[in-house]
Amino acid sequence: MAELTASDLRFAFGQRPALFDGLNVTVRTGETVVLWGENASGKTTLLRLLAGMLEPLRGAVRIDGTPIAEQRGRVGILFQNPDHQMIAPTVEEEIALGLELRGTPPEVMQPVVENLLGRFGLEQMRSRSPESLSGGQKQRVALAAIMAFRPLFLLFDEPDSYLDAPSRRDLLAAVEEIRSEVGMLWTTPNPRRRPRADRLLLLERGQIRELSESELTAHAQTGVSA
Amino acid sequence: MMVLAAWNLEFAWRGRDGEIKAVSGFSAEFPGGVPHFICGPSGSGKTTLGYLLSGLAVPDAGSVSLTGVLPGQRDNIAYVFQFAEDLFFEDTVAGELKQIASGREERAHEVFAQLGIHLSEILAQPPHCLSAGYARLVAVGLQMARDPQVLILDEPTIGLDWRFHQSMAAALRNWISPSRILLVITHDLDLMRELGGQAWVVSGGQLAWSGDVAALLADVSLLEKFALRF
Repeated sequence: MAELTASDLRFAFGQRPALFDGLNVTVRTGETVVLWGENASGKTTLLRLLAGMLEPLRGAVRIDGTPIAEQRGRVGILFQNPDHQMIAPTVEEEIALGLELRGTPPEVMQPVVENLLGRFGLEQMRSRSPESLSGGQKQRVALAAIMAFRPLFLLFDEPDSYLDAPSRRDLLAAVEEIRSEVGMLWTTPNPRRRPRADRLLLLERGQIRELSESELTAHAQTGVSA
Repeated sequence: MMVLAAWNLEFAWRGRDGEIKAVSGFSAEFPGGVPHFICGPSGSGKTTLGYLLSGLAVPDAGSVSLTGVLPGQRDNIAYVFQFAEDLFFEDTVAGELKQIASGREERAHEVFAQLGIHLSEILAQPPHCLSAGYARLVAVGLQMARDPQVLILDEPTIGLDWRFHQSMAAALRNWISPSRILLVITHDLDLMRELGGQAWVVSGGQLAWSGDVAALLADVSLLEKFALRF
Protein backbone atom coordinates (compact mmCIF):
# COMPACT_ATOMS: atom_id res chain seq x y z
CA MET A 1 0.00 0.00 0.00
CA ALA A 2 1.28 3.47 -0.93
CA GLU A 3 0.41 6.77 0.75
CA LEU A 4 0.03 10.20 -0.84
CA THR A 5 0.56 12.66 1.96
CA ALA A 6 0.33 16.43 2.17
CA SER A 7 1.75 17.77 5.40
CA ASP A 8 1.59 21.25 6.86
CA LEU A 9 0.75 22.86 3.50
CA ARG A 10 0.70 26.62 3.19
CA PHE A 11 -0.38 28.14 -0.10
CA ALA A 12 -1.50 31.55 -1.36
CA PHE A 13 -2.02 33.05 -4.80
CA GLY A 14 0.35 36.02 -5.08
CA GLN A 15 -0.20 38.52 -2.30
CA ARG A 16 -3.67 37.25 -1.46
CA PRO A 17 -4.42 35.75 1.97
CA ALA A 18 -3.31 32.15 2.46
CA LEU A 19 -5.81 29.63 1.11
CA PHE A 20 -4.25 26.89 3.26
CA ASP A 21 -2.01 27.21 6.28
CA GLY A 22 -1.09 23.98 8.00
CA LEU A 23 -3.29 21.68 5.92
CA ASN A 24 -2.78 17.92 6.21
CA VAL A 25 -4.33 15.11 4.19
CA THR A 26 -3.48 11.51 3.32
CA VAL A 27 -4.87 9.20 0.65
CA ARG A 28 -3.93 5.52 0.48
CA THR A 29 -4.00 3.20 -2.51
CA GLY A 30 -7.15 1.09 -2.57
CA GLU A 31 -9.33 3.70 -0.88
CA THR A 32 -11.78 6.21 -2.32
CA VAL A 33 -11.96 9.53 -0.51
CA VAL A 34 -14.61 12.15 -1.23
CA LEU A 35 -13.66 15.74 -0.48
CA TRP A 36 -16.57 18.13 -0.17
CA GLY A 37 -16.09 21.88 -0.13
CA GLU A 38 -18.12 24.93 -1.06
CA ASN A 39 -17.27 27.12 -4.05
CA ALA A 40 -13.89 28.83 -3.75
CA SER A 41 -12.92 26.69 -0.75
CA GLY A 42 -9.72 25.64 -2.57
CA LYS A 43 -10.60 22.14 -3.83
CA THR A 44 -9.01 22.56 -7.25
CA THR A 45 -5.94 24.25 -5.80
CA LEU A 46 -5.46 21.40 -3.33
CA LEU A 47 -5.66 18.82 -6.11
CA ARG A 48 -3.05 20.74 -8.11
CA LEU A 49 -0.76 20.81 -5.09
CA LEU A 50 -1.24 17.06 -4.59
CA ALA A 51 -0.45 16.42 -8.26
CA GLY A 52 2.69 18.55 -8.08
CA MET A 53 1.29 21.13 -10.51
CA LEU A 54 1.67 23.86 -7.87
CA GLU A 55 4.41 24.34 -5.29
CA PRO A 56 3.37 24.98 -1.69
CA LEU A 57 4.87 27.96 0.13
CA ARG A 58 5.52 25.63 3.06
CA GLY A 59 5.07 21.95 3.74
CA ALA A 60 5.40 19.08 1.32
CA VAL A 61 3.53 16.54 -0.78
CA ARG A 62 5.09 13.09 -0.79
CA ILE A 63 4.38 9.54 -1.89
CA ASP A 64 5.77 7.17 0.72
CA GLY A 65 8.22 9.82 1.80
CA THR A 66 9.49 10.74 -1.67
CA PRO A 67 8.74 14.30 -2.87
CA ILE A 68 5.97 14.48 -5.48
CA ALA A 69 8.29 16.37 -7.86
CA GLU A 70 10.26 13.15 -8.29
CA GLN A 71 7.24 11.00 -9.16
CA ARG A 72 4.61 13.10 -10.87
CA GLY A 73 3.61 10.27 -13.19
CA ARG A 74 2.26 8.42 -10.17
CA VAL A 75 -0.57 10.93 -9.67
CA GLY A 76 -3.19 11.45 -12.39
CA ILE A 77 -5.73 14.24 -12.40
CA LEU A 78 -9.10 14.29 -14.15
CA PHE A 79 -10.32 17.82 -14.72
CA GLN A 80 -13.86 19.14 -14.61
CA ASN A 81 -13.76 19.82 -18.32
CA PRO A 82 -12.30 16.86 -20.24
CA ASP A 83 -11.65 19.12 -23.24
CA HIS A 84 -8.81 20.61 -21.19
CA GLN A 85 -6.82 17.39 -21.41
CA MET A 86 -7.47 16.08 -24.92
CA ILE A 87 -5.37 16.97 -27.90
CA ALA A 88 -5.04 13.87 -30.11
CA PRO A 89 -7.14 13.45 -33.28
CA THR A 90 -8.59 10.05 -32.30
CA VAL A 91 -9.56 8.23 -29.12
CA GLU A 92 -6.92 5.57 -29.70
CA GLU A 93 -4.17 8.15 -30.22
CA GLU A 94 -5.32 10.08 -27.16
CA ILE A 95 -4.86 7.02 -24.97
CA ALA A 96 -1.47 6.27 -26.54
CA LEU A 97 -0.20 9.86 -26.51
CA GLY A 98 1.36 9.93 -23.05
CA LEU A 99 3.17 6.63 -23.56
CA GLU A 100 4.33 7.72 -27.00
CA LEU A 101 5.78 10.97 -25.63
CA ARG A 102 7.72 8.92 -23.11
CA GLY A 103 9.25 6.91 -25.95
CA THR A 104 7.43 3.66 -25.16
CA PRO A 105 8.10 1.13 -27.96
CA PRO A 106 5.00 0.39 -30.12
CA GLU A 107 5.08 -3.32 -29.27
CA VAL A 108 4.78 -2.43 -25.57
CA MET A 109 2.33 0.44 -26.07
CA GLN A 110 -0.21 -1.27 -28.34
CA PRO A 111 -1.30 -4.04 -25.92
CA VAL A 112 -1.70 -1.42 -23.17
CA VAL A 113 -3.90 0.72 -25.42
CA GLU A 114 -5.96 -2.29 -26.55
CA ASN A 115 -6.49 -3.34 -22.96
CA LEU A 116 -7.64 0.14 -21.92
CA LEU A 117 -9.97 0.49 -24.93
CA GLY A 118 -11.60 -2.76 -23.82
CA ARG A 119 -11.72 -2.01 -20.10
CA PHE A 120 -13.36 1.37 -20.59
CA GLY A 121 -15.74 0.28 -23.37
CA LEU A 122 -14.12 2.44 -26.02
CA GLU A 123 -13.40 -0.07 -28.82
CA GLN A 124 -16.31 1.08 -30.97
CA MET A 125 -15.15 4.69 -30.88
CA ARG A 126 -11.40 4.14 -31.19
CA SER A 127 -11.17 6.00 -34.51
CA ARG A 128 -13.49 8.84 -33.59
CA SER A 129 -12.38 12.32 -32.74
CA PRO A 130 -12.63 12.93 -28.97
CA GLU A 131 -14.35 16.22 -29.84
CA SER A 132 -17.35 14.34 -31.21
CA LEU A 133 -17.98 12.34 -28.02
CA SER A 134 -20.46 13.03 -25.25
CA GLY A 135 -19.23 14.36 -21.89
CA GLY A 136 -19.31 10.93 -20.24
CA GLN A 137 -17.47 9.31 -23.14
CA LYS A 138 -14.82 12.04 -23.02
CA GLN A 139 -14.29 11.49 -19.31
CA ARG A 140 -13.87 7.76 -19.93
CA VAL A 141 -11.25 8.49 -22.62
CA ALA A 142 -9.45 10.89 -20.26
CA LEU A 143 -9.52 8.26 -17.52
CA ALA A 144 -8.16 5.58 -19.86
CA ALA A 145 -5.39 7.93 -21.02
CA ILE A 146 -4.39 8.56 -17.40
CA MET A 147 -4.50 4.84 -16.54
CA ALA A 148 -2.02 4.18 -19.36
CA PHE A 149 0.60 5.63 -17.00
CA ARG A 150 -0.34 3.16 -14.27
CA PRO A 151 -0.76 5.88 -11.63
CA LEU A 152 -0.94 5.06 -7.95
CA PHE A 153 -3.37 7.91 -7.26
CA LEU A 154 -6.20 9.54 -9.18
CA LEU A 155 -7.50 12.99 -8.36
CA PHE A 156 -10.97 13.88 -9.66
CA ASP A 157 -11.85 17.56 -9.89
CA GLU A 158 -15.67 17.53 -9.91
CA PRO A 159 -15.50 15.25 -12.96
CA ASP A 160 -19.25 14.66 -13.21
CA SER A 161 -20.29 18.31 -13.20
CA TYR A 162 -21.21 18.44 -16.85
CA LEU A 163 -22.64 14.97 -17.19
CA ASP A 164 -26.24 13.94 -17.57
CA ALA A 165 -27.60 10.97 -15.63
CA PRO A 166 -26.51 8.14 -17.99
CA SER A 167 -23.06 9.71 -18.49
CA ARG A 168 -22.61 10.07 -14.75
CA ARG A 169 -23.52 6.41 -14.23
CA ASP A 170 -21.07 5.61 -17.01
CA LEU A 171 -18.24 7.44 -15.26
CA LEU A 172 -19.07 5.94 -11.87
CA ALA A 173 -18.99 2.45 -13.43
CA ALA A 174 -15.53 3.22 -14.86
CA VAL A 175 -14.41 4.41 -11.42
CA GLU A 176 -15.68 1.16 -9.86
CA GLU A 177 -13.60 -0.74 -12.40
CA ILE A 178 -10.34 0.74 -11.10
CA ARG A 179 -11.29 1.33 -7.47
CA SER A 180 -9.05 -1.33 -5.98
CA GLU A 181 -5.98 -0.45 -8.06
CA VAL A 182 -5.46 3.18 -7.08
CA GLY A 183 -6.12 5.68 -4.31
CA MET A 184 -8.83 8.12 -5.38
CA LEU A 185 -9.68 11.59 -4.16
CA TRP A 186 -12.93 12.94 -5.62
CA THR A 187 -13.95 16.56 -5.02
CA THR A 188 -17.50 17.85 -5.17
CA PRO A 189 -19.38 21.01 -4.20
CA ASN A 190 -22.49 18.92 -3.74
CA PRO A 191 -22.51 16.22 -1.06
CA ARG A 192 -25.35 14.37 -2.79
CA ARG A 193 -23.21 13.60 -5.83
CA ARG A 194 -20.33 11.30 -5.17
CA PRO A 195 -19.08 7.78 -5.70
CA ARG A 196 -19.13 5.13 -2.98
CA ALA A 197 -16.54 6.36 -0.51
CA ASP A 198 -14.34 4.85 2.20
CA ARG A 199 -13.80 8.23 3.82
CA LEU A 200 -15.54 11.62 3.65
CA LEU A 201 -13.66 14.88 4.11
CA LEU A 202 -14.77 18.49 4.38
CA LEU A 203 -12.53 21.34 3.19
CA GLU A 204 -13.53 24.46 5.04
CA ARG A 205 -11.60 27.66 5.79
CA GLY A 206 -8.32 26.14 4.67
CA GLN A 207 -8.56 23.03 6.86
CA ILE A 208 -9.69 19.47 6.31
CA ARG A 209 -11.72 17.42 8.72
CA GLU A 210 -13.30 14.00 8.52
CA LEU A 211 -17.07 13.75 8.31
CA SER A 212 -19.29 10.84 9.16
CA GLU A 213 -21.98 9.67 6.73
CA SER A 214 -24.65 11.17 8.95
CA GLU A 215 -22.88 14.55 9.11
CA LEU A 216 -22.56 14.61 5.34
CA THR A 217 -26.19 13.59 4.89
CA ALA A 218 -27.22 16.42 7.22
CA HIS A 219 -25.21 18.88 5.15
CA ALA A 220 -26.69 17.50 1.93
CA GLN A 221 -30.19 18.08 3.20
CA THR A 222 -29.56 21.76 3.76
CA GLY A 223 -28.92 22.33 0.07
CA VAL A 224 -30.17 21.57 -3.38
CA SER A 225 -28.20 19.86 -6.06
CA ALA A 226 -26.27 21.85 -8.62
CA MET B 1 -44.83 41.13 -25.34
CA MET B 2 -41.47 40.12 -26.64
CA VAL B 3 -41.24 36.71 -28.28
CA LEU B 4 -38.24 34.79 -29.58
CA ALA B 5 -39.50 32.43 -32.26
CA ALA B 6 -37.78 29.53 -33.98
CA TRP B 7 -39.27 28.06 -37.10
CA ASN B 8 -38.32 24.67 -38.49
CA LEU B 9 -34.63 24.89 -37.61
CA GLU B 10 -32.21 22.48 -39.25
CA PHE B 11 -28.52 22.32 -38.49
CA ALA B 12 -25.64 19.85 -38.94
CA TRP B 13 -22.05 20.10 -37.70
CA ARG B 14 -19.47 19.24 -40.34
CA GLY B 15 -16.07 17.92 -39.24
CA ARG B 16 -13.54 15.16 -39.67
CA ASP B 17 -16.11 12.55 -38.64
CA GLY B 18 -18.43 13.73 -41.43
CA GLU B 19 -21.76 15.43 -40.98
CA ILE B 20 -23.54 15.18 -37.65
CA LYS B 21 -27.15 16.28 -37.62
CA ALA B 22 -27.63 18.28 -34.43
CA VAL B 23 -31.01 19.99 -34.81
CA SER B 24 -33.93 18.89 -36.95
CA GLY B 25 -37.31 20.51 -37.53
CA PHE B 26 -37.26 22.49 -34.29
CA SER B 27 -40.01 25.09 -33.90
CA ALA B 28 -40.95 26.97 -30.74
CA GLU B 29 -42.05 30.32 -29.38
CA PHE B 30 -40.39 31.69 -26.25
CA PRO B 31 -42.32 34.64 -24.81
CA GLY B 32 -40.87 36.90 -22.13
CA GLY B 33 -42.09 36.88 -18.54
CA VAL B 34 -41.56 33.17 -17.82
CA PRO B 35 -38.33 31.20 -17.71
CA HIS B 36 -37.79 28.64 -20.46
CA PHE B 37 -35.74 25.52 -19.87
CA ILE B 38 -34.21 23.53 -22.70
CA CYS B 39 -33.37 20.08 -21.40
CA GLY B 40 -32.66 16.58 -22.65
CA PRO B 41 -29.94 13.94 -22.73
CA SER B 42 -26.29 14.79 -23.46
CA GLY B 43 -25.69 15.09 -27.18
CA SER B 44 -29.36 15.84 -27.91
CA GLY B 45 -28.60 19.19 -29.53
CA LYS B 46 -29.38 21.56 -26.65
CA THR B 47 -26.23 23.65 -26.92
CA THR B 48 -26.43 23.79 -30.71
CA LEU B 49 -30.00 24.99 -30.34
CA GLY B 50 -28.73 27.71 -28.01
CA TYR B 51 -26.21 28.78 -30.64
CA LEU B 52 -28.96 28.93 -33.28
CA LEU B 53 -31.38 30.87 -31.07
CA SER B 54 -28.69 33.38 -30.12
CA GLY B 55 -27.45 33.85 -33.68
CA LEU B 56 -24.01 32.37 -32.91
CA ALA B 57 -24.70 29.71 -35.53
CA VAL B 58 -26.69 30.12 -38.72
CA PRO B 59 -29.28 27.39 -39.39
CA ASP B 60 -28.99 25.31 -42.56
CA ALA B 61 -32.73 25.89 -42.93
CA GLY B 62 -35.48 27.63 -40.97
CA SER B 63 -35.28 30.93 -39.15
CA VAL B 64 -35.13 32.68 -35.77
CA SER B 65 -36.87 35.97 -35.10
CA LEU B 66 -37.32 38.32 -32.17
CA THR B 67 -40.59 40.23 -32.17
CA GLY B 68 -42.02 42.87 -29.90
CA VAL B 69 -38.84 44.92 -29.62
CA LEU B 70 -39.76 48.53 -28.87
CA PRO B 71 -38.36 51.28 -31.12
CA GLY B 72 -35.06 52.57 -29.79
CA GLN B 73 -34.33 49.42 -27.80
CA ARG B 74 -31.17 47.59 -28.64
CA ASP B 75 -31.80 44.27 -30.25
CA ASN B 76 -29.40 42.42 -28.00
CA ILE B 77 -29.04 38.79 -27.12
CA ALA B 78 -26.57 37.57 -24.50
CA TYR B 79 -25.25 34.02 -24.42
CA VAL B 80 -23.23 32.53 -21.59
CA PHE B 81 -21.33 29.42 -22.66
CA GLN B 82 -21.18 26.22 -20.67
CA PHE B 83 -17.48 26.87 -20.01
CA ALA B 84 -17.90 30.63 -19.77
CA GLU B 85 -14.78 30.96 -17.66
CA ASP B 86 -12.71 29.98 -20.70
CA LEU B 87 -13.84 33.15 -22.41
CA PHE B 88 -12.36 35.71 -20.05
CA PHE B 89 -9.82 37.85 -21.85
CA GLU B 90 -8.99 40.69 -19.49
CA ASP B 91 -6.42 40.77 -16.68
CA THR B 92 -8.97 41.60 -14.01
CA VAL B 93 -12.67 41.24 -13.30
CA ALA B 94 -12.82 45.06 -13.55
CA GLY B 95 -11.48 44.76 -17.10
CA GLU B 96 -14.17 42.22 -17.95
CA LEU B 97 -16.81 44.50 -16.46
CA LYS B 98 -15.56 47.39 -18.60
CA GLN B 99 -15.66 45.26 -21.75
CA ILE B 100 -19.03 43.62 -21.16
CA ALA B 101 -21.14 46.07 -19.15
CA SER B 102 -19.41 49.42 -19.53
CA GLY B 103 -21.46 52.22 -17.96
CA ARG B 104 -23.59 49.74 -16.05
CA GLU B 105 -21.39 49.38 -12.99
CA GLU B 106 -24.19 50.22 -10.56
CA ARG B 107 -26.44 47.60 -12.11
CA ALA B 108 -23.56 45.11 -12.00
CA HIS B 109 -23.12 45.62 -8.26
CA GLU B 110 -26.85 45.07 -7.81
CA VAL B 111 -26.90 41.85 -9.86
CA PHE B 112 -23.78 40.48 -8.18
CA ALA B 113 -25.27 41.18 -4.75
CA GLN B 114 -28.27 39.08 -5.78
CA LEU B 115 -25.88 36.35 -6.87
CA GLY B 116 -24.26 36.44 -3.44
CA ILE B 117 -20.99 38.10 -4.49
CA HIS B 118 -19.52 41.41 -3.39
CA LEU B 119 -18.32 42.63 -6.76
CA SER B 120 -16.01 45.24 -5.24
CA GLU B 121 -14.07 42.45 -3.48
CA ILE B 122 -13.19 40.65 -6.71
CA LEU B 123 -12.75 43.54 -9.15
CA ALA B 124 -8.95 43.46 -8.89
CA GLN B 125 -8.70 39.68 -9.23
CA PRO B 126 -7.61 37.96 -12.44
CA PRO B 127 -10.77 36.20 -13.68
CA HIS B 128 -8.85 33.09 -14.70
CA CYS B 129 -7.76 32.64 -11.05
CA LEU B 130 -11.35 32.44 -9.79
CA SER B 131 -12.60 29.01 -8.79
CA ALA B 132 -14.75 27.34 -11.46
CA GLY B 133 -18.00 27.99 -9.59
CA TYR B 134 -17.14 31.61 -8.90
CA ALA B 135 -16.04 32.17 -12.50
CA ARG B 136 -19.38 30.88 -13.72
CA LEU B 137 -21.24 33.25 -11.42
CA VAL B 138 -19.11 36.15 -12.66
CA ALA B 139 -19.73 35.26 -16.30
CA VAL B 140 -23.49 35.07 -15.73
CA GLY B 141 -23.55 38.21 -13.58
CA LEU B 142 -21.71 40.30 -16.16
CA GLN B 143 -24.20 39.36 -18.88
CA MET B 144 -27.20 39.91 -16.58
CA ALA B 145 -25.83 43.38 -15.77
CA ARG B 146 -26.13 44.26 -19.46
CA ASP B 147 -29.87 43.58 -19.21
CA PRO B 148 -30.09 42.10 -22.67
CA GLN B 149 -33.51 41.42 -24.13
CA VAL B 150 -32.71 37.74 -24.48
CA LEU B 151 -30.44 35.92 -22.03
CA ILE B 152 -29.42 32.38 -22.90
CA LEU B 153 -27.49 30.46 -20.24
CA ASP B 154 -25.88 27.09 -20.92
CA GLU B 155 -25.75 25.05 -17.70
CA PRO B 156 -25.36 28.05 -15.38
CA THR B 157 -25.59 26.13 -12.09
CA ILE B 158 -23.01 23.44 -12.73
CA GLY B 159 -20.43 23.25 -9.97
CA LEU B 160 -22.30 25.64 -7.66
CA ASP B 161 -22.71 24.77 -4.02
CA TRP B 162 -26.22 24.96 -2.56
CA ARG B 163 -25.77 28.51 -1.26
CA PHE B 164 -24.83 29.93 -4.67
CA HIS B 165 -27.39 27.71 -6.33
CA GLN B 166 -30.07 29.41 -4.23
CA SER B 167 -28.75 32.88 -5.02
CA MET B 168 -28.53 32.10 -8.75
CA ALA B 169 -32.17 30.98 -8.70
CA ALA B 170 -33.20 34.14 -6.84
CA ALA B 171 -31.24 36.42 -9.19
CA LEU B 172 -32.79 34.80 -12.27
CA ARG B 173 -36.25 35.05 -10.74
CA ASN B 174 -35.70 38.78 -10.19
CA TRP B 175 -34.34 39.25 -13.68
CA ILE B 176 -37.35 37.84 -15.52
CA SER B 177 -39.88 40.34 -16.88
CA PRO B 178 -42.32 40.49 -19.83
CA SER B 179 -39.74 42.53 -21.75
CA ARG B 180 -36.96 40.02 -21.14
CA ILE B 181 -36.63 36.47 -22.36
CA LEU B 182 -34.71 33.93 -20.30
CA LEU B 183 -33.67 30.59 -21.77
CA VAL B 184 -31.72 28.14 -19.63
CA ILE B 185 -30.12 25.01 -21.07
CA THR B 186 -29.82 22.65 -18.13
CA HIS B 187 -29.90 19.24 -16.49
CA ASP B 188 -30.67 20.90 -13.17
CA LEU B 189 -34.13 19.82 -12.05
CA ASP B 190 -33.74 21.72 -8.77
CA LEU B 191 -33.36 25.00 -10.64
CA MET B 192 -36.39 24.16 -12.77
CA ARG B 193 -38.38 23.33 -9.66
CA GLU B 194 -37.35 26.64 -8.04
CA LEU B 195 -38.23 28.83 -11.01
CA GLY B 196 -41.08 26.99 -12.73
CA GLY B 197 -41.97 28.08 -16.25
CA GLN B 198 -41.88 26.24 -19.54
CA ALA B 199 -39.85 23.11 -20.36
CA TRP B 200 -38.68 22.20 -23.85
CA VAL B 201 -37.29 18.67 -23.99
CA VAL B 202 -34.96 17.99 -26.89
CA SER B 203 -33.99 14.50 -28.02
CA GLY B 204 -32.05 13.59 -31.15
CA GLY B 205 -32.10 17.23 -32.24
CA GLN B 206 -35.89 17.37 -32.23
CA LEU B 207 -38.44 18.81 -29.88
CA ALA B 208 -39.65 15.70 -28.05
CA TRP B 209 -41.90 17.25 -25.42
CA SER B 210 -42.92 20.72 -24.24
CA GLY B 211 -45.11 21.91 -21.42
CA ASP B 212 -45.20 23.20 -17.90
CA VAL B 213 -42.10 22.52 -15.82
CA ALA B 214 -44.26 21.19 -12.97
CA ALA B 215 -45.87 18.66 -15.32
CA LEU B 216 -42.48 17.42 -16.51
CA LEU B 217 -41.11 17.10 -12.98
CA ALA B 218 -44.18 15.17 -11.86
CA ASP B 219 -43.85 12.61 -14.66
CA VAL B 220 -41.21 10.09 -13.62
CA SER B 221 -41.49 8.11 -16.85
CA LEU B 222 -40.78 11.25 -18.89
CA LEU B 223 -37.78 12.09 -16.72
CA GLU B 224 -36.44 8.54 -17.14
CA LYS B 225 -37.12 8.52 -20.86
CA PHE B 226 -35.09 11.67 -21.42
CA ALA B 227 -32.25 10.87 -18.99
CA LEU B 228 -33.23 13.75 -16.72
CA ARG B 229 -33.57 11.76 -13.50
CA PHE B 230 -30.45 11.26 -11.41
